Amino acid sequence: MPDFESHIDKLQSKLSSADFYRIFVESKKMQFCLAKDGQIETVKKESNSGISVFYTLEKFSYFYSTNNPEDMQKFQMKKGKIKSLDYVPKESCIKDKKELGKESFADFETVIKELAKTTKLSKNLVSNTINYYTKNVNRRIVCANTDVSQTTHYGFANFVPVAKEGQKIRTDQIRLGRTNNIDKSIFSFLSEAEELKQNTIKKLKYKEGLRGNFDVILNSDLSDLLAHEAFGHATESDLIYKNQSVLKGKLKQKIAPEFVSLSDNPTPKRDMWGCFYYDDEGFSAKKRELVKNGELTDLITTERYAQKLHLKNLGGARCESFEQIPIPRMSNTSFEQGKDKLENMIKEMKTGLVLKNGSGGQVNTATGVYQFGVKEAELIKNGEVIDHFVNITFGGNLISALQSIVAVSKEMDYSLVGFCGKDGQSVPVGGYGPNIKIKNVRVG
Amino acid sequence: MNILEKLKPTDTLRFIISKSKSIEINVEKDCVQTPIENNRTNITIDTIFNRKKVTKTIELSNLNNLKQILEEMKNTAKFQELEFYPKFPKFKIKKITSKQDKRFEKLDFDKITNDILFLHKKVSSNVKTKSVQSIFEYDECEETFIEISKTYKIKSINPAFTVEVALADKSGTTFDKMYFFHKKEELQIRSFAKEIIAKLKQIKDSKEENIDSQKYDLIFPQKEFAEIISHFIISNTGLESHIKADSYLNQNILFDKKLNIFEDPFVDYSPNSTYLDSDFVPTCKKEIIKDGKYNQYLTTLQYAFKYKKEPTGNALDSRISNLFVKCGNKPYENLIKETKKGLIIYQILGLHTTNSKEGSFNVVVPLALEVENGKIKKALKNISLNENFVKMLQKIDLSKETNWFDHYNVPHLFCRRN
Repeated sequence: MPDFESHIDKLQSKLSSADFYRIFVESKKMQFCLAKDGQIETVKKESNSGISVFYTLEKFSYFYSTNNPEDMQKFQMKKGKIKSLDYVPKESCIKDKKELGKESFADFETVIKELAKTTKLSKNLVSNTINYYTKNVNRRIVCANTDVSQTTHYGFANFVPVAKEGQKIRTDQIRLGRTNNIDKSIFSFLSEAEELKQNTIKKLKYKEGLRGNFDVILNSDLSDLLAHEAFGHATESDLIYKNQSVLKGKLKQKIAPEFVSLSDNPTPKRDMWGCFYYDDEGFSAKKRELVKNGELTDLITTERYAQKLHLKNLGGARCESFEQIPIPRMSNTSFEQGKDKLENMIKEMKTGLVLKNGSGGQVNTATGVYQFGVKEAELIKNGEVIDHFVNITFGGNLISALQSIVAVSKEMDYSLVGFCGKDGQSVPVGGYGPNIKIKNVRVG
Repeated sequence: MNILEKLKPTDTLRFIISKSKSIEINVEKDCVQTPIENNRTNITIDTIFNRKKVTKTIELSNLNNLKQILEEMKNTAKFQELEFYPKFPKFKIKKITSKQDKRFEKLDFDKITNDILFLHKKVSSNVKTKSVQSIFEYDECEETFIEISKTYKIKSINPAFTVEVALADKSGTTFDKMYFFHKKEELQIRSFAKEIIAKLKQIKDSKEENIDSQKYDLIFPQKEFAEIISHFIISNTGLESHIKADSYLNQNILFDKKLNIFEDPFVDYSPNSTYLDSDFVPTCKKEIIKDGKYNQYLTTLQYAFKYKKEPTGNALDSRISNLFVKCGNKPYENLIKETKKGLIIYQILGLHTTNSKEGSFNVVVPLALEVENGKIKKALKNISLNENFVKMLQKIDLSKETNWFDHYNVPHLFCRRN
């Protein structure tokens, strides 16, 4: 890999006349395998690296990146004519080195052979695909008085079966993603994949096209999706500042029942998929209590938006790679644990739905309108499951959804392992949340 | 030493050098954000070891370790089970000189920034807005394909502009407009103000009403039509999907005969035009949907080999080069006049959450215009659409006017109910 680290000293002297600078050096190493229909199709080992510089000169700022060390040797600061800075960049003044998770020690060949076995086809299954990778990412952030280095070890697997009978087709998906190696958990994931194959076949018999207004219980996967997609995005400080969030002006206001709390927590815990010690501006990442006892308490900030909105910077700046300027992003976003027993939440339901596992979602943060895909629904009558449905959607307005929460379960589960897209950047996000019950939700 | 001299292609080894530069200008209301400049140089190594195809992308500075990298790739090949040709097949490639507008190479980014600021001021002074945000993106990429005794060079320049406005009315509706430029004279950012203001006036004060969308003709503007084609058609055109028939899109499916979708990789001015794909396979014109019938799969060389079919030259970043939907004969305005009861669909929320393989979708439309007896009646918000893609396209009209959305050139789509 190109050695960008050795360029840092020279670069710092070139940037000495800047009012502020931040150098970002990144290197990635990845082992990837695609297994399909019983065969190992693709194996890749990739490594790449690059460097970026953000600097300011009076009211002008510029961001430059390259993956070619020769470009860096030629780099010179330029001063633009048009003002492009509306805050005073600051640095964390932290000097530290951290490692998140451990490198994989599993025998790659053994693992991928197991993956291939799991993807073998059987009756009604027309396609089985597993993507698996281990990735080590090192990021170093250097400013005049800051030098933060963080290495994260990622382990990821994704299984997608496709079942078919006549003209009916059903697909499903499970994911495993940790900020650690998945040497042990990959094998329980493969057992889950076996179960999923059978469930996908079973779903060929399930009905489609359920519509109406229902009381719903969202399993932890969907409650995380609601926490992240519908609510979390609206708490991102750039959207608040730019008047693009329905939560603008609602800070310190009651927006949900007292028993509802929701947080975004990047601090390393349970190897969740969206963890980090330091954000991509070099600030210490802290837990954000987005909703505490029903009140909108914290927002997700970068240094710029923290200044603009007069908030504390809780280290929420993230970028996909060295090629982008960090923006406010979520990490692991979930509702906090409740007091209700899931069993009772279902028993108490006269007519309603238990919605299980999301297939993605989208929100218009300016209006608060959200729409989610759901893989499976159980129709409940007097506490009993009486029917099953697939390919359902549900949606509504995020403020009304929060206000209509009537129960939050004690039971918590790992759920969201996602890649959140915003402004053309994708970052890993996770969740560990409860089941929640919401009244009168539009389905279909 | 010249890079090309270091690369020694063989029957089983070839390279693609890719050099790109991008510049992004982002303006929020009247505030210019930090300009972003990215430069990247990569070399893709494409090899065959013992009938296994292995590719790896490296940085230019790693070229000195090529021998070691090839050794690692050889080890990687041992794990793979999917077979490939013993050596790279030879195709007859006809080089075509790009006719892209070279004037883009000398763009004045300060002028563009000032044009954007002018546009924002004009829009905000005519319509009450909560926010106006614009992004101008300039991408330049030069790819050199190196195989034994032959070298091909393809350069593309891709400027695009997006403006997003949130209205300061009770609805808080947002509206975005995207522009893709193929000729420099199209890059008239100041002049876009008129069109955007007219649209914003039309959509303001949208109201939520409980309507049954099944009773309305559905009218998809060009951007939304491009989105649904990408989701429901292009994503299902892979050769493997075709062989396994694992999606609703099969040869028994019949859309309205007016629907014709074809790929043309040789459009003079398009940045997506290319005469070969990343498998060194020549691209070609092809009819994907012909007279309403699925006609042609798209594939890479690897899957063509796996299923013993002809490659199609579609080992491309977005699977296709330039995709066209054949336009109709009538202007958009006339088709609107012919609409008794219709909904013009702006933005489709949650399309990616629907299952493209199954061809049905339940989505929310945050903004729509209701058409009654050929006239736009009012703006509506948050309408539910519950549709089957095939049924929806049984009776259609397509406008005469087309527009570009990245790789897609499409007309407006009118889905008629009867």
